[in-house]
Amino acid sequence: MSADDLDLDLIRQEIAAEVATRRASGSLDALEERRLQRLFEQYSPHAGGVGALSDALRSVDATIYIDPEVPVASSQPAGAAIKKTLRKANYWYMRWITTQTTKALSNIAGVLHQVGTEIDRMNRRLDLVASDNPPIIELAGSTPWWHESAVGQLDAVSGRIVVAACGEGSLVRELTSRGLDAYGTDPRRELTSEGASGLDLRTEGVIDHLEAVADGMLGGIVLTGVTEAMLPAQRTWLLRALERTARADAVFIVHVIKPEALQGDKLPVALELAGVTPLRPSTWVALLRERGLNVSIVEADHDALIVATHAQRA
Amino acid sequence: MKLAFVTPRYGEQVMGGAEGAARSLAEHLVADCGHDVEVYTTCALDHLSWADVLEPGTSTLNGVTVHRFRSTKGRDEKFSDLDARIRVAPNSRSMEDSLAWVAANGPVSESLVDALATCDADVVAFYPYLFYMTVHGIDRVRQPAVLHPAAHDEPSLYLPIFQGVFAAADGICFHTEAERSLVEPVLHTAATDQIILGLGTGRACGTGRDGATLLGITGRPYVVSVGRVDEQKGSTMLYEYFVEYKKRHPGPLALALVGPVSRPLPAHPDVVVPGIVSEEDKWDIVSGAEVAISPSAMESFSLVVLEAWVAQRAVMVNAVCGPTVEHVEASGGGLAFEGYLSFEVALERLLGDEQLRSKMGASGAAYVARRYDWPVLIRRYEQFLMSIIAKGRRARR
Repeated sequence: MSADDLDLDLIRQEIAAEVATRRASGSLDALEERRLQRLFEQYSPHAGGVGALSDALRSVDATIYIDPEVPVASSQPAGAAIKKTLRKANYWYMRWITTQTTKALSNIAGVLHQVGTEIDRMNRRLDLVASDNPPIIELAGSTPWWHESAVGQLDAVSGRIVVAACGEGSLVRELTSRGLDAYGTDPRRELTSEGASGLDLRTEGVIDHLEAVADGMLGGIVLTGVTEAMLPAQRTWLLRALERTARADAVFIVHVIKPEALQGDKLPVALELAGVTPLRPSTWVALLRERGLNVSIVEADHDALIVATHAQRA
Repeated sequence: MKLAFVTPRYGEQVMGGAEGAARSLAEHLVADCGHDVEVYTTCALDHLSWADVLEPGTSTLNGVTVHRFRSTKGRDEKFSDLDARIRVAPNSRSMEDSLAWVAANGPVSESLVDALATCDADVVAFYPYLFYMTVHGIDRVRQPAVLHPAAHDEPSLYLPIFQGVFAAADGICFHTEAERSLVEPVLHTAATDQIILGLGTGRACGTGRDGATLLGITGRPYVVSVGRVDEQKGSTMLYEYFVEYKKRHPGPLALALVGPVSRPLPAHPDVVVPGIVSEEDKWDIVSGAEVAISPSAMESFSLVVLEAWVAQRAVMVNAVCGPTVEHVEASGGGLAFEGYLSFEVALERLLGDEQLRSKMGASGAAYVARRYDWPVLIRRYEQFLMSIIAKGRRARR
């Protein structure tokens, strides 16, 4: 077997298939498997109520059963025997208590499962479930004519500047070389190679990232490649996130590709699959003005650079 | 550059964990980069009692200046009750509850925190996030503060007090991407300067002795798990899984649980628990194992997984432990299990295929060399610290 022969996905699939076969065959007693699963889940993280509801429910299920058989192991010589006697004497009582407790917890868990199922059903109906982060859409072979202008606009900002869909970080590099405190995010792991470039580039989508930024932390936000394939709900969320995460004197840079540059043979697969029509630059200008921002625009043949600031800054 | 680490305990007696990681970074910054490093810590060694056992004062350990301070309180006897209470909806607990939990967790050392106010280092690194000296000290330093959270998905992470602690950090140093993904949405740290660093691994320092003989099971094949033998670390689960495995797969295979024992396990003819062993013995034991297993669901990095790869061993990890799964996914050096049956099938698969084990061990070793070789890692850390110093102290609660 050579280095390239190792197909981990295939091995995992084979293991999963074998697990399913053994479970179906009953080769391991179901009660015993449940006991062993409880051990697995006992210290599994599900700590703060964030994360998948299904994981939390699984851990609730794993801890519902209250065992009336109190452990009797002891480090003292006669300890185990004494504990065993006490357990025997109290067993009728412990069993009565634990049976009722288990029954009550089972009922509560049943309600939680129903709630979980209902939430799943609702989620499936929401557009947002389709994708947490929009796919990146870029002009093939385009030269970033707008970088110089963007850097000029951001030159005087205070606070950190984030560049969404930063790719390999060329704009981040331009900004940091001017002494600006910039970093980038991009979900394409192959481009960011965190740490390798010496730049602060994160492997994250723009929505995930902005969701985790504290209020008023950012002095500049550059969006490029992320707006074209956004679903309406994602766009609404993004606009709110921009307002929340930006400082009062922040500068917003939105680089958009014109819809006509993404038609016919030039229509990217990801955009077609997203099933959305990119907004025209003028629509972005209107959207940002609606939110009380001062907006200017520089247009090129295929794309446009929109710069927005709060009214008081301008 | 002068760097100060702040950590609840420090010393050669402290094995692994966040405090061990702090010592590794401190010593490598001194030895490899020639920086001036000091440590602010307590006189405690035991992470359960936090009892003062070392003398207070200043000493030097492997080139690092260590300032030790007495604690006024160790682990509070009411901590377990308090901890159990905050497990229910920790994010909705009051600030008073949070502070009470931090104090009860211990060790409480006001003198250590007071000393930080006059510290003359260029940058102060707090390691890890959940102790008194970090919570109360990160606001007291005048210099830029770097936080090494060493966080995992535990209820305390969601306590409101930690919003402010993380907000007071000028830079955050994560062990893994999984740790960052866990922390960011909870504590809104995305715009803070940060780095995913991890830890460097030592070179294998085995002496070529037979691991089975060292374990007293000469001639028997064995799988190994290195780390604290503790219910919370998954040792009990691994023990039970292995005993079940042996019921269903009789034979000579043994399990070795190597490390300090917090909770003794019942004696079993196929399970050996040698306790703490020397570094040389550890490497020989790991090198002789068929497979290395990390059963813990709560790791923020897991150096022992990386060390198994240095020894070219295939590993098995707990499928709900983000950082170890991240290592396995990125390296191709092992498999994850999510319950008994997947444990059984994965172990069977590895034990039955020597080529697969060997390939996984080699892939893991290449991954470690690529990412966690000390010379590369310590320079990245140095560069990060320099950038934080250059930006100055900005973050304040």
